[in-house]
Amino acid sequence: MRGKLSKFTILLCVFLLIGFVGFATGQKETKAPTTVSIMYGTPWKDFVQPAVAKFEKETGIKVKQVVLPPGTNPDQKVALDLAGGVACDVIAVDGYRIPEFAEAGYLLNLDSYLNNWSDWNEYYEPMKKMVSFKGKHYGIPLDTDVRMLWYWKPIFEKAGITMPWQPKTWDDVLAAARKIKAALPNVQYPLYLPVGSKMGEATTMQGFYMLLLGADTPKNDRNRLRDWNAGKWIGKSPALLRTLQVYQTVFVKDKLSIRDIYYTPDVWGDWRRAMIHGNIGIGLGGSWEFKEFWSGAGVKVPSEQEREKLVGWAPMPGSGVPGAPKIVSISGGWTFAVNAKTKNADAAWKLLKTIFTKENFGRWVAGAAKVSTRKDVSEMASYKQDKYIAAITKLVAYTTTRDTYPGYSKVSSYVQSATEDILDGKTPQQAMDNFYNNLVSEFGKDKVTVIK
Amino acid sequence: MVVGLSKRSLYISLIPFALFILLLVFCVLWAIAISFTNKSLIGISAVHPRFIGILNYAKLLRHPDFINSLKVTFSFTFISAVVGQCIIGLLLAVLLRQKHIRFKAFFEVAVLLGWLLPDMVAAFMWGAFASATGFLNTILAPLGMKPINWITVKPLTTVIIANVWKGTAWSYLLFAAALDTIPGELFEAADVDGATAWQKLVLINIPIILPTILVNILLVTIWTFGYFSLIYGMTGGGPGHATEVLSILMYKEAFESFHIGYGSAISISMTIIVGSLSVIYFWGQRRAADVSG
Amino acid sequence: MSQVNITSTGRRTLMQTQGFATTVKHLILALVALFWLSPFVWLFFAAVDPRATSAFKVPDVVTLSNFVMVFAGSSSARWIINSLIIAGGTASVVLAVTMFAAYPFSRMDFKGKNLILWGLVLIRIIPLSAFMLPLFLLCVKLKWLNLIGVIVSLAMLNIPFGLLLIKNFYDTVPKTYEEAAWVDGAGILKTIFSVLFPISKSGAVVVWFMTFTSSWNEFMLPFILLRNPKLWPMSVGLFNSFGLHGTINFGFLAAFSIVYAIPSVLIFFTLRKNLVSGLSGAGIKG
Repeated sequence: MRGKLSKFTILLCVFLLIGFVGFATGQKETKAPTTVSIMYGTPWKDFVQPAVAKFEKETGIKVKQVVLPPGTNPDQKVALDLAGGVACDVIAVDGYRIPEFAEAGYLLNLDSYLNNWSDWNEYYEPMKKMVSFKGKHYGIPLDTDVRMLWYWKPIFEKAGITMPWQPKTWDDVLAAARKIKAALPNVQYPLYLPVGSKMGEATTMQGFYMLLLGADTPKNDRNRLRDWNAGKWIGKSPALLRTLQVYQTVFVKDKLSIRDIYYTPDVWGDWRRAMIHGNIGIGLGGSWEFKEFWSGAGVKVPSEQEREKLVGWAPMPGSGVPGAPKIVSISGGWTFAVNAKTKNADAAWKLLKTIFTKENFGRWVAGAAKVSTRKDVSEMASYKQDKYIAAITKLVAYTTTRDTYPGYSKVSSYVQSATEDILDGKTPQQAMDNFYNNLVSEFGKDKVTVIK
Repeated sequence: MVVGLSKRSLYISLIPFALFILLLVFCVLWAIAISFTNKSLIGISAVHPRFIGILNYAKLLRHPDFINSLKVTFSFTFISAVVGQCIIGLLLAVLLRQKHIRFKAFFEVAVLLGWLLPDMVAAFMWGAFASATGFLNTILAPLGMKPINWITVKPLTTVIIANVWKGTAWSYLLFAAALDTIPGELFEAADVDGATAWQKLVLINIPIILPTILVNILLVTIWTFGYFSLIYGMTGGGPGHATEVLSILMYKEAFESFHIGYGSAISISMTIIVGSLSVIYFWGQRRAADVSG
Repeated sequence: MSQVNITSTGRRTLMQTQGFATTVKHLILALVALFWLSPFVWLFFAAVDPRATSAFKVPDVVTLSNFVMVFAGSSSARWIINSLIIAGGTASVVLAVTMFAAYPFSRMDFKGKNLILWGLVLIRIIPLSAFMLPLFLLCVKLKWLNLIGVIVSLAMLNIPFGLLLIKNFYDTVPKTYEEAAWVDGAGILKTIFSVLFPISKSGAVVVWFMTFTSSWNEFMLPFILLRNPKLWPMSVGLFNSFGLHGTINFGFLAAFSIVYAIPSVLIFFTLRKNLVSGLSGAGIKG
């Protein structure tokens, strides 16, 4: 009996041994003091990697790079990593997260480094504000962007819509979409309007805000999510109602878009593939799409001339309601921040400095179809002379930023929920009531206001 | 007192077990405690969470997402587990026990494969199977149906069917084992009396294995109520909130919105609901025993 | 069966009705088999198709390259190893702990014994979701957001059931063997290893492989606890690959799914008799 037993005991010991190996490998992931780690998404590979090579050569410190594959949501991952205490030393953070992360103590205050860095003076004030919380700065702004209407020129040609397309009101946009739907029934998305929680912040910015901001006058923040003077979130307003009504028109009444594409596992890749394969007529998207329609679809980026033949853009018009802005855009921006729990703050800062030199940033920004966040790079010839950049820089004059007060990310998720209510068949009024109730339940009745 | 072994050595062998059980109990108590706070993973509540009493639970009861989640979870559990898995499992168990059925092993393996598959594989397979270009549409084409993406157009239906596909084998195994315990003489006696197959089912099979049936209904209800992986892998809870069962709602609240306290309240509510169902079951069983005894 | 035998009352014979009924039953079973096997059709085609998509298609070229990729690819190979570590580690820990703990439960009478046993049964009612949050926060505090944390958490969740199973097996072992061993001066270690364990080996095998399978299939726990992609087991690796449309292909994922599913299927069919009796015994008696 003992002989048979030992075979099993051996197996048991083998697996306990494997378990310990697993333990050891797990522990090895914590960085030794002579390495520095950085995490960012694939779109920034070209920007970061040359600087990392330079940093390693100059300082001899090894850099562990965690590049998130396309299709992963870096915003979500960073938040959970920080909460779990396992984030990298340097991390890419979406600008709107800075207040919440800073408040929770996850980010390192960089003021002592920034004040000794001459480049810091080149950054535009609104950009500096984007990375600040209660007057302290927690990151370096990477880029910014604008948002507009993209359209697929071959479809417009076939549908007989005159180009260059210059819609003046919401009705113009909807009319064009209806024309596409009638003329080309094979196009599944005559109008692509980001909706739902799968697309996350894209729904709130490229979809909801682009409508909301044009739905009413900017006076007293009537066209926003927060009344900054009163210090309250806006739970009900005519602008909110009008925005939800557009969602209803697009998804329920006129069926200018079906639901499928907004919930696929790879929402970003599929949006771009749908565009370049001629399945989208008009789409609300960011300025980076001029390059990402192809690179984000996993396809080689054609020359600028070829791209201009296929895709065009127009500034998003307002609703046409008296007093509402005629042109609307909203800007976000990514930043790079430092983990408050880093064991190597100096090395992390040095790495940041190397990445954010004028040369490195200037080299990358125009080609990536991004808007510069600092004066010295905006003055560079390569940037000034880029045709596309010059054109969208005009939009920068009309743009605004999100209402990023702590708690914004919750408001944003309620916005996404409201758009989903429309998809589920609720009326705009019901969706708005739910939105209001969500805000009240989250922040308390005294922090939410109603605009008549 | 066990002769030959010291009490001390017996208690020592309990120590590792006791450690794990303490950990388990600690987790449950901590979950309850967190549910009474507004702890979050970001913002000020990450650093200074406050005790807020039953506010989380009050919020839950008013929250349309929670109400929706309850509906989705109950439909999902009742239709796929109680109705789908148990009834089909029972019918299969009865059918495959009959003498003149051929290829029994083949049919059994077919059903078993669904259950043995890891959840993510099933989610992946069904994701492709039910997609617009998937095999399901190919099969249904001769019936004149247009190809649709079943997961975005009929999400709850598809997920329910996928769960029936996945879990029926368990009920089948249990019922088959129970049926095997029925003495053959009963059937022979029934044949002598000229009973039909249907009569045999209703008057012999079901009454004798009724305890097993009832226990299984409770078990699959408990398991299906908290099910996460298959649904999350197939739809992520969407589109919208169409397939957002309670476990997915909890995950989203806790790990996407980072409201740990609120998320904990959701999981404690789930426990309360499932616990109540169990209590009702045990109470019902007691009553039945009292009546028949 | 095909001869119509009209009896005096004009009714068809029992045999003919039976014949018809049998055909109907076989038809129903055939439909059932069709329902259960059709999702696999796509899976197997895609696994051997170098250019597979989610669309159903009979491949023009058949190849094993997808399977090679599964074992050769650095991420997928790592996922396989992680799954082995997690499943094997958990199963071993559970067996080791319950092997010892079940002995006092089986042979001794101590205060609260029945309460604990009933508690163990009831614990299974609590959904995993309720444990996720405290486990996550605990592993953050202990810096256990790695394989150790996953193994400890999974072991914790599987030990109650394992204990009940092993205790039931010990209960069937007559005390005479132990008493003989004590006469020879055996301590508790020897008693369990040399006497009880060999006799209830089938029970141990059941517990080890059941825990292995359930940890092998586990998704939610590693998904939430493991932040580092290098530590992902196959379930999480597969899930995160769904969305990488351009980078990872369906053929590879299909092959990967098959490889991932094989151990669970194999284990069940090898141990079928033991598993079923063990399950129903412990589950129903409880």
